[in-house]
Amino acid sequence: MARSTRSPARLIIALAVAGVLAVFLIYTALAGASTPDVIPSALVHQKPGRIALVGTVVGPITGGSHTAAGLRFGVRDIGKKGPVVKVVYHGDSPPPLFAVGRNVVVNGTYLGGRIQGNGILTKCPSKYTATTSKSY
Amino acid sequence: MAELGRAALVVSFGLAVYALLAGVYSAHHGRRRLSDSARNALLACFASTVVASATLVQALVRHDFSFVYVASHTNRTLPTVYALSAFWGGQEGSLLMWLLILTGYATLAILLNRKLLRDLVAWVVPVIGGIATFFSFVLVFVASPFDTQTAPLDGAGLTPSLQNPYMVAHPPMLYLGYVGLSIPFAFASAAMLSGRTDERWIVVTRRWTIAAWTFLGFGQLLGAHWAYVEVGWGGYYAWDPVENAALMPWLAATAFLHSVMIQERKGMLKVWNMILVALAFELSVFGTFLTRSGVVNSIHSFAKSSIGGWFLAFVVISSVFAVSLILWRLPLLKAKTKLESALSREAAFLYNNLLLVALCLAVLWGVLFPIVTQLVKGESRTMGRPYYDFFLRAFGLPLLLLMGIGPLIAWRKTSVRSLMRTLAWPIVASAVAGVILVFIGAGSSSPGLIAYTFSAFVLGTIGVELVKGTRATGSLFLLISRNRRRYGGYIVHAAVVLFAIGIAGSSAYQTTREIHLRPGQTAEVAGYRLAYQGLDPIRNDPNRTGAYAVLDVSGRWHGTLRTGDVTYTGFQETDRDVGIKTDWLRAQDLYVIADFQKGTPVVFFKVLVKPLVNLIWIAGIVFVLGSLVALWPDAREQRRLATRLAPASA
Repeated sequence: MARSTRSPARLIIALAVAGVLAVFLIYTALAGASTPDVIPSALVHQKPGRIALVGTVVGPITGGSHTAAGLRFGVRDIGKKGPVVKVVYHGDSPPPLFAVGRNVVVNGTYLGGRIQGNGILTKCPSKYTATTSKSY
Repeated sequence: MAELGRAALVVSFGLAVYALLAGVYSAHHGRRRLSDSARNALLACFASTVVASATLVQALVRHDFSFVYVASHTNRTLPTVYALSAFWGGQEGSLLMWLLILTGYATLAILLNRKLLRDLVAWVVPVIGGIATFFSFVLVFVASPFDTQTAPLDGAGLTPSLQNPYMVAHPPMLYLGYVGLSIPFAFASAAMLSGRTDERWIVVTRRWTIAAWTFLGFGQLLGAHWAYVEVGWGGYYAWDPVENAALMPWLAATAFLHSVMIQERKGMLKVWNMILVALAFELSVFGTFLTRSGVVNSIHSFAKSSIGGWFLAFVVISSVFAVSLILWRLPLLKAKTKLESALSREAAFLYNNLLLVALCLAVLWGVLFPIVTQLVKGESRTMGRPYYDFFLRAFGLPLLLLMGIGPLIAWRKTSVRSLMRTLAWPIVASAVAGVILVFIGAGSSSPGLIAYTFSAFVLGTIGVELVKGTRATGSLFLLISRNRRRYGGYIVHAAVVLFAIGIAGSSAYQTTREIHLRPGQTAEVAGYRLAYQGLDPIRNDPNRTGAYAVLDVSGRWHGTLRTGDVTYTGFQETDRDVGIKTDWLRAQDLYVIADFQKGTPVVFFKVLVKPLVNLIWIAGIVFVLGSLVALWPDAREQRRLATRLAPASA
């Protein structure tokens, strides 16, 4: 068994690999693989493009996701009386928990003051949550 | 009764503080009697935490709604098993469970090692005492499960979709895993604090690490299966921050489990192992911070609370503690030997570790990205599924390949020719599998084809090892029982292969169709003919309202599938019941989700045919089996261990 002689080779390799990975990760991350999370009240500053709108569903909910006119509803900031953003959603059926008052994330494109949605996430009851303080 | 619970927690807190302070003083000054006293305080801390836990369990079973916690998480109609599961269902109860498991593990670890490793245990006590101090502090001063109120007539109850056996087992499994990582961390810290940084702490904590790692892995699979059968979106993992919070420490612990073998055998990677064990522990606490603080947007509903800041502080303090210890003890953590060749088992393990840690950090980066972009750019941005999928493929596929090469490559060094000779059969097996897969149409997905080919390669290497070993010993049973750690590892590798095949099959080769049908209409999807018979409303059920769409299925399978929306009385929320038919013969699931449209008899169905998805769940069973083999007590190993540890502790 060879005795250790002080050789920085392995450390250098490891640091080099880590450095390359870090740059790669940062590059990939900043190169457009991400989507901005936006709340309705902040949409005024938002450029047109893909976004994830985070907020609470406001009624009325009309239409259907499979129809040409789409499923239509509004979204406002969670727990606030802010502006309501209109959403027109086409695509898969919204999750069963989707309803007025639910907290949701709508993925889609922001254009002309409204969201063309193509994905809805409602909060999943991952923890035993009391009905008196629902937060889905 | 609440007073008893509160008092027990205060006692736990006092004992934990004493174990911390007296433990540090006695270990530092070599005061043996005081050290024993600190150790006993930690054992007593477990006893008082048991009293607090029993108080809460009793309140849950008796529906004592004067406890705010009981009223918030149960009601009178809740079956006892779910009332009991509310113990770990809410924030305060889950913290109590954390403390209970921590002190329980500590008691076991201390009692098992107090004679052989007295010098190490003297420092283990204050380290675990410090962790217990934090949790008992939060329970006493920030989030007590023993707050009381005027008892209401009934409690709030439990969300229906969580009244599921998977959700009874999933959280405690994760906690057993998260908390279990505290024990190797405590022993590693003790090794550095005591200056005894040899391999003893690794040998002693190996089983603890495997057990924690198994619980964490199996707990995640249970959660994934619950999502698959209950949530009704057709998937099982969404790369959500809360899900990733459990994955990250598991990845770090996986790297640690592999690299400790190098330290045990070669005396290398000492610093690396200390970093990994600290990383796994910190990530387990960081996961709780993520889920409780609400700093990142998650689809999972965890009530935001004030404990997030406390957890962040604990993560920072314990990280500074771990990094300082490692820097302080760097001179003692020098490797005994050096890496002799890039083609050696040591090198293969190192590559494996780099890939696992890279994957872990890629996930961590994705989780932290919204916070980083908020701080740097003033705009929170979230990483989507493509990001995680990319890194899973980029790091996961080479990992899969290394899983086959690593166990067959020689220690110290080998030649390319020798390696190719060893790997000849597995290479042939994977090449044949690749050709067959292309022939049957699996070439439509390159990552899927690569995953399958690599999987065949790994299974080939495991097969070669088993055949060689069985020839040498004359019996497969004898072979495995004589080297449980090694062959338990191979079984776990086989589980990972099944898992990879399941993921590749159900994602890369999945068929998805959206169809809309009126009663009497039919559609065909991937060989299944679906005939919509009409709606079947739920009748005469006081607890549920709603309807199921009934589909007669013919073609590859004959039978009836029912899928629909159900609303539970008292819970104004709808559950989507999916129709799942598992076709074991073809190893695939027919998965149907109904979407009812108001004012029309037309129903939209999302139909998914998911090949090999059930291998993921089978992999979970094989994974546990392999871990049990590796964990099973081995008298020969115990004798070796006693011989190895005795001189150092004498």
